[in-house]
Amino acid sequence: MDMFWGLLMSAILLGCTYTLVAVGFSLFFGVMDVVVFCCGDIAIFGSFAIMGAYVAMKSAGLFDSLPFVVCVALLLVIGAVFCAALGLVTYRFSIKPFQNSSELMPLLSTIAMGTIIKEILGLLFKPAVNTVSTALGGESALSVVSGRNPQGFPALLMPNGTVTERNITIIVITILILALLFLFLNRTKMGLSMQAISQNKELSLMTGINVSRIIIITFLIGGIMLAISGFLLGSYQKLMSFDDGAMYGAKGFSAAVVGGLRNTWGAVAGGMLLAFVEVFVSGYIPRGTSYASIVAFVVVVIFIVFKPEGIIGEKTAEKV
Amino acid sequence: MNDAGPNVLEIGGLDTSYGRIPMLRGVTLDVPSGHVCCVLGANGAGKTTLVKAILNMVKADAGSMKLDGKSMDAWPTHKRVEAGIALSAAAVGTFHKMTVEANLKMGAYYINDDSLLRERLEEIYISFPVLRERLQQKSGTLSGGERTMLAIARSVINKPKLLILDEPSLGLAPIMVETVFEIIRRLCAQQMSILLVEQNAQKALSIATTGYVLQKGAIVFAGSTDELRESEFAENPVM
Repeated sequence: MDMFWGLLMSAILLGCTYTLVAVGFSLFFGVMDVVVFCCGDIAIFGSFAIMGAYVAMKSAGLFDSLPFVVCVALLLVIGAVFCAALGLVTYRFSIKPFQNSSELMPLLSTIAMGTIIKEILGLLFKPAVNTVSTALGGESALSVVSGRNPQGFPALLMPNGTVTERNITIIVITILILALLFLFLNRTKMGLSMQAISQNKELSLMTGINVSRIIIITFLIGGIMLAISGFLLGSYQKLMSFDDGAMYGAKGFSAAVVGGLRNTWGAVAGGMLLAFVEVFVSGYIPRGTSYASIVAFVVVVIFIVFKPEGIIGEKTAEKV
Repeated sequence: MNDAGPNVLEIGGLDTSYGRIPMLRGVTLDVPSGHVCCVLGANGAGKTTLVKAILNMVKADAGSMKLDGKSMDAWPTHKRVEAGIALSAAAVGTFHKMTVEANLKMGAYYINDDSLLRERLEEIYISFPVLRERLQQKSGTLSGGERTMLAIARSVINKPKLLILDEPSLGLAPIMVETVFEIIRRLCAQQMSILLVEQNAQKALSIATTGYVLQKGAIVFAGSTDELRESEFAENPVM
């Protein structure tokens, strides 16, 4: 039974990390009708921005002069600013120029953007400058090493707490972010405009919504969300590699598809489903770890075939 | 209702194109304040393009447009809506996942005063009793006639300077067409300036004071509805 609870905890945790990336996908798809494939890379960019800023602040002695919480908040702000800016760059250079061309163009150009982000991170963060691995503490985090140039993510969440405490904090932060997003989408004019654009772009124009401005705001907000997801991802797996983005992008995108691309809550459900499948397959099936991702993607395919409108997608086809 | 001038909207020499194919060619059109002006034309004559060009949803290649005497050529779509042009086109659909009430509130995008919004909503419910019964229903589940009602209600909630109705009778049963025109008649009695774009010539002529006929992207007739009724264009309603 202990094993079950342990697995449940890790499934929810992993689900949290997938969920925020998936929500990013569905936000962007909603307003632009375009799959922004570099969401995963933007999230990883966020965690590397935080790591870089951490090193800089540590060497500048800010952690000694300022309270720890202020420093962490500052790091989060820095990550959010970087990712919001990157969101804008993505929109400006790999989506906007292709607005009137085939839908495949922005798809390809955002994949290209993802590669650029990834390689820039790879160049900037060589293993040699990994000065933060000491911040890991005594835990054996090395078991999750993947990809090249792994970097240790500083312990910023509950640095003196137990693993369980940290994990619960990650879950609570995710729930908080999702609740804020829900309030934003349903209670503010801007959020409602985003929903309106996602449902009917032409009518949104006729309603007087400044569509291009809302699109820019969406990319800012999406960028900030991805920065937070990068932060949580780093705090969860403690070792980050610059090319993790592709995998998180694929998982986030799958989760969003399973949830029904336009549906933000579907993205949450999809992320959780994917994580549960993965974690429980690796937990209960002997040597299942190697198959976990395969089974997860099979589940995605099953959903695409049998429930293409998404987990909680209503059949929204308008009456004609 | 409008004292700014005799015409709420003046369009001069409007050209648009779809890619390299010209759509509208030199369209000149005035909508008199407080009256209904109708534009008749067959499918593909460019009616919807004209309507979208007025809101800058289709870019004009040449020509000028004035709202209440002020040039609005440089204004983007949202600014034109804010300035008081409301377009109602049932063919564009609704925000289908939102309730009818939410759709109406989205229509009142530029009304920021809560009490004014409530007041306007009340007025809408009185004029469109069908919608009151459907307030909490997702608009995607409305019938065609109800959707047309919603489209009109959505645009009149702002009390626009100029209301553009794009084919309000399109795809409706005769009895619904009657109801819709009853509503337009009522708006017209309130001295609202209306640009009515229709294929149903008889219906349109029955409430308009001036009329235009659009053929292959060009205006081929302009004049009062009496003149239009006597012209060759009234013979063939679809032209």
